[in-house]
Amino acid sequence: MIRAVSSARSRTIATVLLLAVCGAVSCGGEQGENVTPLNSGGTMIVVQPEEPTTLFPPLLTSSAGLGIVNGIFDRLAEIGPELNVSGDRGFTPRLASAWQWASDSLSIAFTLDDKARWHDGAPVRADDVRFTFGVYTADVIGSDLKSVLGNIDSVSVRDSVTAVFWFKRRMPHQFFEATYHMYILPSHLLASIGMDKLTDAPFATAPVGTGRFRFASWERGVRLDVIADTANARGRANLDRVIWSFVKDYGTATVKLFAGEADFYEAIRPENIPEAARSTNLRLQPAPTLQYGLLVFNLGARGDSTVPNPIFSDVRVRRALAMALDRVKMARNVFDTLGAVSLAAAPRALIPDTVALRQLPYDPVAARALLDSAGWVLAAGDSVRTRDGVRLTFEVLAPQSSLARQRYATLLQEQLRGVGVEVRTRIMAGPAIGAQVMALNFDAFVWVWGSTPGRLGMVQTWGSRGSQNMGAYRSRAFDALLDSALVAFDDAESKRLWTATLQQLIDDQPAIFLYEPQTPVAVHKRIRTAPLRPDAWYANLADWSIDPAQRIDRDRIGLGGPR
Amino acid sequence: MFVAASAAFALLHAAPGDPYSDLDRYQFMSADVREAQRARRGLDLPLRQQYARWIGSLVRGDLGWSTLEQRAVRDVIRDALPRTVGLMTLALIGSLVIGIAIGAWQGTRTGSVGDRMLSLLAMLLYSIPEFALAATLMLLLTPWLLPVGGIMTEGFEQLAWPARAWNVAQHLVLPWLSLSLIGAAVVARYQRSATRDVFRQPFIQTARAKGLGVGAVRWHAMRASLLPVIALTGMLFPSLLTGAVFVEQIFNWPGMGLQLLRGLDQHDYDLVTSLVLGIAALTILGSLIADLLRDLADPRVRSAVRAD
Amino acid sequence: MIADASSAAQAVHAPASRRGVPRSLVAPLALVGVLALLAVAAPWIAPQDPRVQLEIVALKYHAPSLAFPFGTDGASRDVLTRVLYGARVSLSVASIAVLVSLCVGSCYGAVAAVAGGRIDQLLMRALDVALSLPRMLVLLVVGALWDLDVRGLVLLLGLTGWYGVARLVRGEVQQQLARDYLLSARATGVSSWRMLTRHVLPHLLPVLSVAASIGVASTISLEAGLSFLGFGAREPTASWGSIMRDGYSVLRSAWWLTLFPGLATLTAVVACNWLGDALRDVFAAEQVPA
Repeated sequence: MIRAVSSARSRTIATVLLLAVCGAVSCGGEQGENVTPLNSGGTMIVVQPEEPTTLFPPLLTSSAGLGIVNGIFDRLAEIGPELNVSGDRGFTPRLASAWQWASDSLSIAFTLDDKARWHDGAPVRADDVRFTFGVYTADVIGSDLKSVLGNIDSVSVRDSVTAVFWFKRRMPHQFFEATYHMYILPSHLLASIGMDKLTDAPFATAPVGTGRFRFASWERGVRLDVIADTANARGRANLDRVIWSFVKDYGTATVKLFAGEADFYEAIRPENIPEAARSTNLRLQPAPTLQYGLLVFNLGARGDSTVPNPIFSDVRVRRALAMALDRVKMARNVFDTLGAVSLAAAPRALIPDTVALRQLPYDPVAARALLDSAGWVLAAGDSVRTRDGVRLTFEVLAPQSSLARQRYATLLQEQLRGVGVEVRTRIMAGPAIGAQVMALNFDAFVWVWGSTPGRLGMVQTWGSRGSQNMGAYRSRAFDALLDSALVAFDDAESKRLWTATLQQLIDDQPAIFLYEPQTPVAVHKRIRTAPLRPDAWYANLADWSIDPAQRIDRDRIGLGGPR
Repeated sequence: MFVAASAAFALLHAAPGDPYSDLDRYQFMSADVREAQRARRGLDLPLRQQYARWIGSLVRGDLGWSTLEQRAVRDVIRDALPRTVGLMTLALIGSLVIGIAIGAWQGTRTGSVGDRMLSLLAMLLYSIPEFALAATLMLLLTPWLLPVGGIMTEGFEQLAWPARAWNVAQHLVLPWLSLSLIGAAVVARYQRSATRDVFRQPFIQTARAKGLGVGAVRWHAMRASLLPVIALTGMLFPSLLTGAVFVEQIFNWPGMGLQLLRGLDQHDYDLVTSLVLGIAALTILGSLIADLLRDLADPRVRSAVRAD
Repeated sequence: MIADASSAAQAVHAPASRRGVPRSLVAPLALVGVLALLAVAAPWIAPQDPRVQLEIVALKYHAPSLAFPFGTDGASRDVLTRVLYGARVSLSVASIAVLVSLCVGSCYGAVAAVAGGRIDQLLMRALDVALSLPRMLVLLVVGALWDLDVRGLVLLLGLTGWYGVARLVRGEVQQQLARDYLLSARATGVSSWRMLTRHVLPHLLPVLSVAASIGVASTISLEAGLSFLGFGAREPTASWGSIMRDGYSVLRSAWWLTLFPGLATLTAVVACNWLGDALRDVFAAEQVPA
């Protein structure tokens, strides 16, 4: 019969469910088990603070909807677990069953899986691929990803199941560019709508894809359900149903998890880890991510990037500030053992040789000396350094939504006070920070970058013309190193150039690299996960399953009958 | 209401940032894409033009487009409004019933130990900030007794309606209790002094002298003292709405308060202005209903009230 | 929280007693006094500097002990110190804000009453509009959208809290102006201003003092709520509400972060409400003809 979980509340649910399951649901669970492998079935509830605004893949801008869209839609090929981006090494077929490089490497022909079907039953065609590229790059759609698709010249249809990508330049990461960013969209449903109306069309909130999960329902502000696509050519997803439950308040979300009302929480905070570890329902599972936290300096004057910043334009000051911070202790404070000091402008998983990088030490004495030599001196009886009558004081912004970044602002304020630097912290709402940062009207802010595999995002984040280079860092030396690293085909050469590129940023310190979160995810014990890929924990969600011997009431919901 | 909404519009648009300026949300959005998105929503127009457009569509009954939820604001409100109004109505009833009962009991026994204890309790309850009360209740009563938050346990939407209703009721208990306790504390104070005053009045003394039973006397006193309490409902309404913002946030009740906070977070212009409009309308409606009730309770003040 | 200036209308108007402090006022006055004293004396009695982070790894989230009676927070700062300094912020924000609203409200109400006629109607109409918006809504919208410092917060709270006071004062002034001795004074050519300051203002004091204590109570609570949502006082300035916000994410494990500032808030609000009630009773009793 139904196994009850430990808490008393769940037992009451069990009774109610017991009475109702047989009446309302036509015993979908039991029927399903006869035809499908023993492994399949069950419901997983993912609790998540942020709700996506749309499920239209080209417009996914925050991480909130990625896991959902990844289940519903497919890419042409999937990157391997080691996140290699050079050539097609490690990539596995997804919507494309095979691919062929042209002899000049300037085009790749993808052959689509002829068994692949949209959730409405229509076959997947090469025209869908061509259409998808058109949508992602259309100005009227306004996808962020347009800028990273720049090396793709066009996509053509060779026959109904073969789409050919044409590239402008031969690059090591061509294949990655063609497959990683785009989820293939159904042209038979969308082509007739008109580009300018696509993003507001009902499709954006009730999508049809090819993934092993299909969209089921979305009650705004509350929950979103996806269910296994039982007819999928690659086999149905093991789980019957994944429910994304949106709980705005982190504290409430955490309590919900501890109460056994949710099965998975990615954003569990370090403070709550001990309690999670004590819970009999939960398992903490290491989940590598590609994030790194940093304090970005504005190297231009406030509001005008053409004039150098009076404080931060001096590399000695930036290095001194970095050396004044005990980043190891700060990481221990915020993350306990679940975080580490960031080594460079990339997470460890994406640094080819961590040992080769020379780090700035924690050395307040040297930091003071360096500030002195830069002309910022401490007058007797004063607590703040000055240079030519200007006080060494600046403002650090941190967003309201992130406790970790707020804590970092608080910690560094106090540590810099120790070397005669006055920091004012300002905790602000996301849009307000963004408005100030984009207008370059700030001194410094605590920020987190999510790296892209292959560090390709560095062009945008640190390159002189990068669209996300928010601190206005301009270095010819860095640009040259980055350019050569990006086009290095040889492995050893690539490793050497990337190390030099990252070292250049450490030496220049356009930002202080603060931390790398290594917070685990909390999962209900009965759930068997597939390996969590660092760029996307949800990448193999369709392979997750629930131990049949440990099922609880909600695992009997099944695929759902008519409502 | 119109002034209120215009003020909200002005405040929102004058504030730093807009729906597309949250870097956390739009990490990789390049500047030209951001501009294109703004242009799509008409955010690049001069403010005067935006205002005219907004007023124009408002007159046509079009509340605009929520950038947060990527759907019409009308739909967002249609989902949120009943949840908030339902919660408020129940809380109002709860406040009145609990408050009147306690206050009337106290009013007949002013000065007794029980009266003092209850007065102290009421004082504590209406002094405690809403969020603190809600958080305390959550700490004490969840998860062992009641669900933590939300409107329905995941999975129950597949069941028949009795199970669903029972589940929603369970989720309703804590938000309702938090709001009702705050309201009841206020009502009880007023009811207590009203009852006490009535008991001192000549007609009660007369009734007593005539030998009417204690129960009958109390009934008369009750009726006579109801008036000031009913007048309170008009005042109670805005404070319950205020409380609802906190309570919805803490218990994740997806009503107008929670949507307002989410909308403010992301500078969702149309959503926030519409919610402000809606809440102002609810407040006015609340005071109208209170006037009406007052008329019904005491025919003497009928029509005199409005002229006051 | 709900109590606002309008409940002060129950206070009855009589000149303040000169017979010393009535007994029922002693306890609430003492409580308010102690709180104010603690806030003022914070720099001398607090065990630490509120900014100091003692040892960010070993002493973070340290449970209450002899060395740290209220425990420490996530940045290893002493919570007792933060609560004491928080009292300065919470109490002064509330008091100054109420002062602002009393001034604005009194002026507005007095002008309406003295001017009468069209102007009075217009002013009261505007007040109705302002009252149709729950105060919290205005606070939320402004607080969430604008990055306010403490001064901004005071102004915001003050400028949204005077509607009730204005009504109250208008009513009182109208009543006083209608009294015989003032009617005759007016007939003899005494200026309105002089009448206001000499004759009407003293009669307003009881009502205003009740409104002030109840106003301070509700403003402390409002400020705590705003800070709790993250729209009030911000790092490194700590008010009771913002300490509670820090602690809310660890509500079940580091309870001391929410409990102590919570109790402090409750005590202060209760004290002010109590004082308000007691004042009202005193004035009401004095008005009963002997």
